[in-house]
Amino acid sequence: MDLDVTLPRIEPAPAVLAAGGREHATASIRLGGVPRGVAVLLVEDHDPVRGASEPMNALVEHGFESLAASVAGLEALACDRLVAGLLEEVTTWDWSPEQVGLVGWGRGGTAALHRCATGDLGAAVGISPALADVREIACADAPRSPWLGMVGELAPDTGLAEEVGSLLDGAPAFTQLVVYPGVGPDFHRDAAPALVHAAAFDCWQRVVEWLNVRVSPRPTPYAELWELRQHHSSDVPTPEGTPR
Amino acid sequence: MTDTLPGGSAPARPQYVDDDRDAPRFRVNRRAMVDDDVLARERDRIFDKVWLYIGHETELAKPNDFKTRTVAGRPLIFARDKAGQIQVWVNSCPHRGAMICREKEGNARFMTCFYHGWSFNTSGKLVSVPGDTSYGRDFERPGLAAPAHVDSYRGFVFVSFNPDVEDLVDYLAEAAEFLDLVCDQSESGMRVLEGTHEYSVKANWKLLVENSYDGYHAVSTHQRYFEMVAASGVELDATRLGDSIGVDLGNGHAASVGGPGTGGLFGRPLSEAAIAEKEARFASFRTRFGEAWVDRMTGARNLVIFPNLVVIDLVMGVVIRKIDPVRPDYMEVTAWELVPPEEGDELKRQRLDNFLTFWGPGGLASPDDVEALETCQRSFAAHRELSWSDVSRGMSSPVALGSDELQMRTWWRRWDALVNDVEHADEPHDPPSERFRGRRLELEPVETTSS
Ligand code: FES
Ligand SMILES: [Fe+2]
Repeated sequence: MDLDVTLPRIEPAPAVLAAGGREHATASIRLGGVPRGVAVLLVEDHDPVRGASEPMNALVEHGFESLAASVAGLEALACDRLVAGLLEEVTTWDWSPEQVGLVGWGRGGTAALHRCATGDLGAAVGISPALADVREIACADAPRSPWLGMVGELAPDTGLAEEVGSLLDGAPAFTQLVVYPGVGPDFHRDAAPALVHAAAFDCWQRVVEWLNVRVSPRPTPYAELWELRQHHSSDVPTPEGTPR
Repeated sequence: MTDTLPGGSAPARPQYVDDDRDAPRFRVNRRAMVDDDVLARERDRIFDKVWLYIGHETELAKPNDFKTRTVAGRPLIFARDKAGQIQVWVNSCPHRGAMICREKEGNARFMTCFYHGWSFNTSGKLVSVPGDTSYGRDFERPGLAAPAHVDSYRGFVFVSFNPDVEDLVDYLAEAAEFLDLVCDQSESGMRVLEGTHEYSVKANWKLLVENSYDGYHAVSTHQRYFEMVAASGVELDATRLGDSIGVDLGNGHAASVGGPGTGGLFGRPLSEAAIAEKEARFASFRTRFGEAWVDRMTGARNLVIFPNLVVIDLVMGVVIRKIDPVRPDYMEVTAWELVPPEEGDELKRQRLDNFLTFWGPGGLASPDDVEALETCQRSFAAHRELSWSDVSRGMSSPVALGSDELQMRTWWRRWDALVNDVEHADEPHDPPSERFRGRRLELEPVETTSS
């Protein structure tokens, strides 16, 4: 008996988003029903459809919609503006910041950390960010939303890990810095060597867990009704479209 | 001894505490250590009624940090919610009972029950129910259950399952002052170090309560520890060990209390630099709280807050110990170390060393205590042949010493009142001398000019 199940792949939809005075290619996957939350992805690949398709599909397995864009070639300020634009875009999908998990690779990871300063995000993750940049951001704007950083031990500035770790420990929000032994900055691109494969596998598990326990779920129509009843003791009319 | 009165009326409780003021003699019946019925009554009449320690606020540093703990046999989630408030929840899903949280500790804003997937936040609210349309639109969504009361005193968080329990400060009575003596040892607030000691003892839980402020056993049981201290070059002035008193702090709480300076009496020697730092720290406390209070702070303290919280300030380490009965002959113990976070590295290193060598489950003292208690418990198999343990030491003295047994008698009298409805009068003693009564003053810190 063959138990291998191949889940159908969803091809992310390409689009263009104007943010911070420039146009950015984006990729999105929307879901029906009541999705668990939304993930905003900042990838290093110039083409977000190519660069984000795999994690976007993996997030679908956990009920997350997603919107991705590329940070390739963007300076810090442009990254911040892109993040603002993407978050703005998902509000039109009806997601509030606490229902968003912001996941960035490389400089996308530092941009995610920077966005944590306001404290309204559900959760953020940085995969292989440069620790020198992380240190700079953590010094300037201590994170108020939970941020998870994951780096390879052989990346150029991993020597800063201890210092960055204690800096982050002093922040108001819960943060974690994971250093994968024996791997370089590309550990998240799964490869045959055992340590890289293990790091890539563990890294993705952590991303999903980090989001699952922190991103606010969207209330179902019935949950919203119940919420309303908590605030008004009297009878509440059935909102439009609520199943009976 | 019979449990039934003649004529078949309601069964009389056997006598567990023999508090004879004329002899004077105080004895405890060993059935109290072996009977399932006694443990059931303890759960009912003590653990379900009074305030119980769950943990320290500093163990939950960040919003959404949590620890799972067992208090009074109940699995609880001890958490800090998103807004930073301390919360305690019953770790059981209101759906059909699975534990919401199966980890010892972590950080999570949402906890999802793995059985059917209901999700709750750290404020106890049910935030999602898979396939909720099947429940209908009027379904009342149950949140997590909580103990009747949660309150804290200077970072020590207590819960009570009794809706009618008195206020925590009233409950703590004079024991609150002893917590102050510990908590005042840090300008920024004492913190619990990460990590716990967890061990079990094949003995009745009350034996460890007794042991925790038993000054009488120190030299005999812990002979090996004292030999180690002597070998490390410390000249122990044995007469100072006697500089201590036993005090009844009300509501069953009691302490054995050493005179000024006895807190550092034993333990491996500190380095010159560590001694200097420690002295400087205490000098600054003197300018803030006054000499008399700080003299008391420097004394050793073994405190038991009824029924099962132990706070010991001795050998340069403050241990917080929580004792949980599991069966009449089996208890679980959890212990933490409380430290002043501003202490320098060297002082901290030596503090940790002293803490581990004395208090650790593999240290030079705790295993001796465990062995003593386990032999007691084994011997209680013969409780019919030898029914009573004697706890009379110091009963006739004008002042009870720390090596006397007033502390245990205080505890047992409260125990007997709660478990068996037998009231006992307080034991008369002279008030402790001035050295043990200094009050905390609120003085302006004196500006010291650096030389
Ligand atoms: S028992 Fe928790 S969801 Fe069913
Ligand atoms: Fe002992």
